[in-house]
Amino acid sequence: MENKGRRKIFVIAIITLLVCTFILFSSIPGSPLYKTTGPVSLIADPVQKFVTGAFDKIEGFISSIKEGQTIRDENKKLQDKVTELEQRIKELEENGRRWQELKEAFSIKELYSDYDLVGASILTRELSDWFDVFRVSVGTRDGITVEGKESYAVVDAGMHLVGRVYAADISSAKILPVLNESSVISAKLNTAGGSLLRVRGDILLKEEGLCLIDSISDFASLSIGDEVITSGAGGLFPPGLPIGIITAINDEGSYMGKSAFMKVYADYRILKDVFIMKGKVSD
Amino acid sequence: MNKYLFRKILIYGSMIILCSVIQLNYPRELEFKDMIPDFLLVLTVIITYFNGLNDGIAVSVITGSVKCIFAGRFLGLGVLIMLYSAIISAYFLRKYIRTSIAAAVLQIFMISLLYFSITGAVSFLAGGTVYPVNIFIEWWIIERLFAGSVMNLAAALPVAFIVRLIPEVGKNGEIGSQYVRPMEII
Repeated sequence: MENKGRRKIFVIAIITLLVCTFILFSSIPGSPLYKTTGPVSLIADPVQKFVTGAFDKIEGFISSIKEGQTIRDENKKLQDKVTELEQRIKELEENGRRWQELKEAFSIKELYSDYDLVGASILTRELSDWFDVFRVSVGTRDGITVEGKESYAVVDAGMHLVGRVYAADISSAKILPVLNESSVISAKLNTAGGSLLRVRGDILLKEEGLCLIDSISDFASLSIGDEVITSGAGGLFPPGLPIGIITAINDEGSYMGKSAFMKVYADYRILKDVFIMKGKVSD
Repeated sequence: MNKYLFRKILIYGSMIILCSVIQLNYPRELEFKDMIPDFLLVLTVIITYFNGLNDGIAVSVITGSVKCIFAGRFLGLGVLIMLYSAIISAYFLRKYIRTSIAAAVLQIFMISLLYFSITGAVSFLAGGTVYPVNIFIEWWIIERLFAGSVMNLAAALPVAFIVRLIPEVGKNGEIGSQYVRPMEII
């Protein structure tokens, strides 16, 4: 009995040690450990795409029924036709939106000709605190490799900064959103000679789609409504990508010091596709 | 491999897949204060509570890996959290009551409170916010601790009912004393 208990403790200790080693190695930027998730991604991604598609269809079906019920009371025959037409309109609107996104993406391409744009669909979103990156449908086989401190900027169809590629395996990549508390970006005001700023995520602000701006120089003049863009310093993000707009400014006397809140342009709740700007730090 | 063990693996596998699918595709409309239920944590804790630590360890390694692979920043962190949730679950209420669905749900609530307290404390200490500690604690209790625990509680009841039907199987294929037939639960 005592031996059984000891064996159990031994097994737990071994698993804990192994897991801690894994955590330690995976915390190194560009860790090759992320490649080990490749086989799982290869199997899980098509399943995930299928499930997402099925959920979308069910959601569409349920909403069609909900919308149809009101009309059915007025005219049964007309309702069938209306539901069908509404479904069609939704599809066309979705197609139109996608077309607009692609059109806008092409304008990004013109603006940042040094960068290749790799389009990707979002596979899974954040689950909870500490499990808060989202996965997209491109990986190392599409040329997305994260090594050392090299990474890629991720933008939406409106060329707004969404985040950066955190890790990649063969068929999927993890994106660290701008709103995440681990995210720190060198930015500046989108004005002539705009001051350099630091944009960082904050746990309390991210639910509202806000980021914190700090490291503001004494000479910088910030106003509510000012646009914040990437500065290009550090080499991770290309300069000039819009991040968000200043919504509030905190005085130097406040407990946060001189800082500001910024509403991020990218709307993570409705985001379905993103574009990875393939360009290395050394480029 | 005896038929009970095979059936159990099949049921565990199906439940892990089902919980993972729900977890990864949880509709945004059903969120409460931006929180979604942690089905994988709920499943791990309830399986450990009803069927013992051995099952709990096996399930925690898989559910933790799912969390790490799909949404984790550090590989292994999910396994560590799930493993220790299973260990707590095995020695907490199980020591006194082994078959009650109410106790299983209560256990989920208490482990959720513990889990969110730890994540909150670590996030604060790791510099996740610039807000002072009193504002952070107040926000965390309302927005995370309360909302997250309530969501986990809601997920716990259906999962507990299903897991309760799985018999505890010993090494030699014997069925554990806590096994009940479906009708007995109702």
